Amino acid sequence: MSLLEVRDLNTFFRTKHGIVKAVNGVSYTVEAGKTLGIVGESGSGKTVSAMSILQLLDTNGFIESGSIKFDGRELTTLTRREMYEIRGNDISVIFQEPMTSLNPVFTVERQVSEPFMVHQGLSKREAALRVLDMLRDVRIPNPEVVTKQYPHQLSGGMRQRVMIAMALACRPRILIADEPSTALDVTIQAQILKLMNDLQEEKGTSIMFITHDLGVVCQMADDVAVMYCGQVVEMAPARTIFGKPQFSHPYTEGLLFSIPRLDTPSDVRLEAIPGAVPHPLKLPDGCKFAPRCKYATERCKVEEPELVEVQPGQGVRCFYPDLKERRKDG
Amino acid sequence: MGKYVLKRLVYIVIVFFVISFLMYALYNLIPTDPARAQLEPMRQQLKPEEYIRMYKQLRKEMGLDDHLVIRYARWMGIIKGLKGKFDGLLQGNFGYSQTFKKPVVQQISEPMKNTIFINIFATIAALGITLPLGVYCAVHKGKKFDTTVQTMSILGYSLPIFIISLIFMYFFVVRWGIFPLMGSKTPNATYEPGSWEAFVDKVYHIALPVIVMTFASLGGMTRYVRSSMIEALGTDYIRTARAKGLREKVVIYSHAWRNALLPIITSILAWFLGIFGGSVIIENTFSLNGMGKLYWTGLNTLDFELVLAIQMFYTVVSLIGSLLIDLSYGIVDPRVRVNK
Repeated sequence: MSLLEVRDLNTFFRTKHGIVKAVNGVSYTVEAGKTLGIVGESGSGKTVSAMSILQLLDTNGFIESGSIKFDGRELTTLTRREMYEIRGNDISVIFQEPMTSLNPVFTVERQVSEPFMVHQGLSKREAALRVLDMLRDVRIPNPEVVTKQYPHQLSGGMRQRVMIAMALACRPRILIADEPSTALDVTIQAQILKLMNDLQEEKGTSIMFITHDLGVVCQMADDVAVMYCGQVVEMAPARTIFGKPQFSHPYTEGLLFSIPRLDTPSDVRLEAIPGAVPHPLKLPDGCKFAPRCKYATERCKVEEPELVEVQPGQGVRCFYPDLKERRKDG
Repeated sequence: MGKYVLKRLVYIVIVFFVISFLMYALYNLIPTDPARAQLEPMRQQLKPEEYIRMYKQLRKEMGLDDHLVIRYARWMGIIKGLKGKFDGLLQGNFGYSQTFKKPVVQQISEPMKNTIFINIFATIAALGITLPLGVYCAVHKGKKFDTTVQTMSILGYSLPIFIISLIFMYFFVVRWGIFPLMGSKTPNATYEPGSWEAFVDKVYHIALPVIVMTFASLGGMTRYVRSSMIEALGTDYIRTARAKGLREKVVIYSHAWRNALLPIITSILAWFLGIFGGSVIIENTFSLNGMGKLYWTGLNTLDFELVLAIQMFYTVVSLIGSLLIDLSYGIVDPRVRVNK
């Protein structure tokens, strides 16, 4: 049994202009000790689907239907009180913006010690000691000094380490990392990613890694879910996607073509996916990707494909999943 | 923090002297002449030449012919006065009121007590209502209670304070007869000054003005508290706090409130001074013996030194206010505390 199993999740938002279907029938699983990478453009529903797990949606958002099973326990029907026990304890989150994700008026010690006090009932003094341990774990130099400091005295990389320390405080089973390295410099980014890999090995935490950066996914993930317009369009082991796949969704193909690789010949131009993500209130009828897809046929514009298992472990939401055949026809 | 406080104090002193000089120079432009005012009763008995000689001599004695800066320094008590000693504002001499024919200090003490009394009451009452109300509305944004309060508050801050006074007077005094119409104490009262009865009588008289002032400041302040609380609740670190598994109460009253407080503290100053400004109107409407009413009388009778003294009172109140705000800001916001 998977540690986390999301099935047919529909998360909608009530807005002035109508219901926005931000997450539309999404399914994925996170295995114990493994990393699931969720890739997609902004607005593809990757963050919303993750926030649905913890029920941390904005007030106008709601889970319309679907099931989220954590360790065999259904999360969508839990009460508020039961949800408090899960958040930060069993499942915790690292957010994208280390600059704004820490409370500016509280010290590092106060912020990192909160999970210990809330979930483990430690006293202030006991928690403060654990905070020092945590700061050491995330390789912060001079933890005794940093613990008394305020967020504005720390650099972006340090703040993200504090965030990670806070998230890992109660040894969660799952860590949701929502673009944890996007706002950082490339060198700091590499350090943070290495830190997360190391900590995963030490503590055996499962990671749900949300990003739009395929390079990062390739480095971090065991499995990959590619999202587009609130749907999972492809689900496969990272090895399959980043190897020489037989099957692939045209969107994944486009994403891979748009990043340079070491073995890309220098005379090959990088290809961008034409067009833009459709407006969430004006989604196309058939396949959501059809308007931007160079292989799209008449069928794609009327009929919506299902996520089909093309080979064990790989699912593709396309009528023409076979790369070679598609290229020949197109 | 010590350096920060010291810096603030130095600023305050500089600002005090700059403002006081500007005030002194401005009020000097008022075409009044204390020398002439003093000679006026004797004018009939004097021959014109004698009058002019005495007038000129008096002007010299009163130091009216000296340069503006020198007169200012004398008035402030930085240099020796006409009687050969330091005797100015800094020494506690606020000048002489031509209207009331007595030193300004004597004239001003009772109204000052009254005004401070009223304003502190109104401030405490208004903060006591607006802070919880604003926070509650922010947390229950868009619900029926919130919309009702929002509508009411627009009404509250768009009505001028004298209209509110008249409406309240009509209901509380004319219709229901709960409070007295005006004045600071019951006429011909027999109690000892300073006794418990005197205090009760005073509170009874200022109750309605305080209610009006509180009511008038509710609207704007509630909206301000509500909007800064909503802003704080929408930030990333609030999401982080929730993701940690903190109870909603802790998230709101500890994490969000501490941050919402920063802009609120700044606005409290402007609002507190606004109350003092508003009390000019209120004291006149309710005929209370306060600074605002005295100020009004002084302006109407061109009583230069009286008005200037009251003006300095307002200046000092606002300077102390801003010092307190700066200091509390330093306590609440670590970014201010550590950097400066």
